[in-house]
Amino acid sequence: MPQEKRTPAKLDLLQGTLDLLVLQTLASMGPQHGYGLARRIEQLSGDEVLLNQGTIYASLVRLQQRRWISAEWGVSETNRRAKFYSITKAGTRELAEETSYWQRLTAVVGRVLAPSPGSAK
Amino acid sequence: MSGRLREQWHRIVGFLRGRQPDRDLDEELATHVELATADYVQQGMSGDEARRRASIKLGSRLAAREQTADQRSLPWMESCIADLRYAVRMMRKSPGFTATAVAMLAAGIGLNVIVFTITTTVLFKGFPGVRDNDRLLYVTARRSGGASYADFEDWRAQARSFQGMALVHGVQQTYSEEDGYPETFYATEVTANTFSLVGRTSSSLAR
Repeated sequence: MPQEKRTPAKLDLLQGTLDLLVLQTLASMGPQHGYGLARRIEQLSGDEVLLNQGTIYASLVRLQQRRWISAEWGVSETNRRAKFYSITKAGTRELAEETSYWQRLTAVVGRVLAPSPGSAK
Repeated sequence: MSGRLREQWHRIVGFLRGRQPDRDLDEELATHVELATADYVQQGMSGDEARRRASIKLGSRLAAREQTADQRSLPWMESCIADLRYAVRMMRKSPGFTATAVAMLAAGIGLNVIVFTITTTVLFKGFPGVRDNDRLLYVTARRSGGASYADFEDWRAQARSFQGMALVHGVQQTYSEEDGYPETFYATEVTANTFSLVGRTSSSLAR
């Protein structure tokens, strides 16, 4: 099976980030199937994220195990059986926690990495 | 129960149950390709090209199955078990090597057990038959050990930190039996208060 070539322009997702993106997408878009989620995440990221769409299913299993999302069989736009995922109450709580953690972390790392005014270049 | 704990629980249960084909996932992946294909067709691609692109986008389906199966089990445990099986197979294949390895290990472990047993008994357990080993103190006047009897008497009379003091002295005695054969015995001379001090009657120690 051919693999998509990694171009330097695309970003590799950090470990655990995909789970967060899935939760956020479900929270803002309502119930989605796996393909819908993958598309949404790619679109929202402005196609900057390198997503092997198949990896989303492991993430969905993990989130279900943690009861942060739930799944239900439904019918897709093309009239096929599809599993629709929606975020649970615990998932919403987790999303809020993880989001604020992420913001703190990126703010700190950003501050440290920012070139200081005194340094050359 | 927290989310991560739940995940571990699911993983353990899944591990015990063993890997099973995931028909739901197969169906999801098929739907995924179909939906992606429909999207690409809508963007103006031909059916074949759209299907090809959709497949590429999804990536390896085998990898997706593998990843979700890993998520439903304990991969590290599975690989440990696989390693153990491999080890047993290899040991069966070369019994000579196995026997040597086992013998070496047995000798090593045995030697260690002996050394440690002796060490604990000699250094840490104290004397057998003595009531309060941790309150026993060995006092000598010289580095090589021993003290004169006069010193001992002075100590016993003047020391205030001890419940009592007894003199212990190793000697060699040679005795002859009635038929005339002399034999050397290693003996210990002690003062009369020794046994009452360490909490033993003389008859239970002397054999």
